[in-house]
Amino acid sequence: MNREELLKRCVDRRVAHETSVVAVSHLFYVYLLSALKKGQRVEVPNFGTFGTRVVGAKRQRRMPYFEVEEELANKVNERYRNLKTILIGRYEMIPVEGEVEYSGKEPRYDRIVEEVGEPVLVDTDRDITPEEYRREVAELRPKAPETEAAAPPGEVTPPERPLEVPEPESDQPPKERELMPKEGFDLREKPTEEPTQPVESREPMPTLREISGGEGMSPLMQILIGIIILGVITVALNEFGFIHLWGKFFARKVPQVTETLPAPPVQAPPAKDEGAMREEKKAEPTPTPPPPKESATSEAKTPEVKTPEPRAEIAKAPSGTGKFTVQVSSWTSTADADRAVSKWKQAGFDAYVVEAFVNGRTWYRVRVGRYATMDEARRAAEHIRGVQQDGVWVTRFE
Amino acid sequence: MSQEELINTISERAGISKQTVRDILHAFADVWTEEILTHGELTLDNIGDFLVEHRPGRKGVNTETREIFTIPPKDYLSFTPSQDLINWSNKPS
Repeated sequence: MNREELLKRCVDRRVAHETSVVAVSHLFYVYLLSALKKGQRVEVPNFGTFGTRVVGAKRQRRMPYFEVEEELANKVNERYRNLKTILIGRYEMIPVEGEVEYSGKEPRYDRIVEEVGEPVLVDTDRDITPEEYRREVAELRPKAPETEAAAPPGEVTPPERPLEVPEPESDQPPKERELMPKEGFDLREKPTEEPTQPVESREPMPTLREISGGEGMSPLMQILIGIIILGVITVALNEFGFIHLWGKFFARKVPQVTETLPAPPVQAPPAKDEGAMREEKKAEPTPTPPPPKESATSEAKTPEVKTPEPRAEIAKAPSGTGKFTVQVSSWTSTADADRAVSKWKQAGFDAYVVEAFVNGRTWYRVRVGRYATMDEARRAAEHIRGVQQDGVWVTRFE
Repeated sequence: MSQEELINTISERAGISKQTVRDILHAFADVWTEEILTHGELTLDNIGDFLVEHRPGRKGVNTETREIFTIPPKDYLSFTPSQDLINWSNKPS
């Protein structure tokens, strides 16, 4: 079929416009040839696959081939499609003294045929139906007079079985195994008899579950439960302070003083209070934050200021509604923090304590007031710096 | 080159939709299949010849199980590449 005829018949089918059919035909040939030259395969839908393989021992070259698709192969083989391979006999190797060498031309069993009779090929030059084929094969099957005596009366049928039947290597002689009685033989029928296997081989291997004691958990479940137990232990150790991985889930109680105090006005204290503060400052030789400078300054210089706020921070006595606050000092013990808070409160500031966990240590931050905007908080911080110079900064209320 | 790759390549090159290319290729296959089933042979220019051949039934032997059985006859499709295609495949690029 040349290309014009192919195009004509495709156009007659009205699959697409003639221009498209011509273009696709041209491009298909182009890509087919280019792919074969590169050694690639080209799969044509509903038809088959073209490809090349290297042949030749001395002078190698590429030989194009075609693999037909299964559907097309079945259509071509429609006449013999239902015919299947049928077992007609067995043979045994009989050692021959002297000339035993195998020439490679003739089948070796020809010299050692045993009770198979004369094998005759099926005449296939004509159309043949499955019934005819089965009849011819039945005629081909060798007669086994010896096995008739061994078989039960009335059940002597030729051994017909497809090749898929597993033939176990049992102790029985092959003659008896061939005599499996079977009625209503059909070529398509699957064998129903079970292969006789030794009893020892049928014992199932003990599974892992049986070895581990019946209803054991799967390894995945065991790993999961192990991870959960490890997590619970870690949380408990962190909660009780043996390790410091994160903040504590359950906040410690801050002294009641900071919680019960009423919230003073958010604005910075009036000038009157400032004067009183200065008077107190003059009266007191030491500044308001009396703790050792190490803790206050070192904490102020620690990376706590630069690092983000810790996630486990528990507000003890928030007051007001502002988003910003002023931190004045930070302590590692609640007693020092409470002392600082009480002093700031005596000075008229709304002080409170916030617990924070930084670098494995718990800090108690003393903060003052709540302010709506950053500017207000800065002004208040400037005002507070009149009382305490160091360690005062504005932070966000949390 | 699989079916989809072939269809995509032709579709992009020709500017035709993939579905149209797929339909046209299926039409090619249908025409070739019809020709093969009707006349038993098909000749594609510059590609090769397809021929339905007959393989007679024969006797087979399984040397492991020592079973003798019949192998049924079969009709199969053979492909003989044209000399042009062989030369083209071995032509140095």
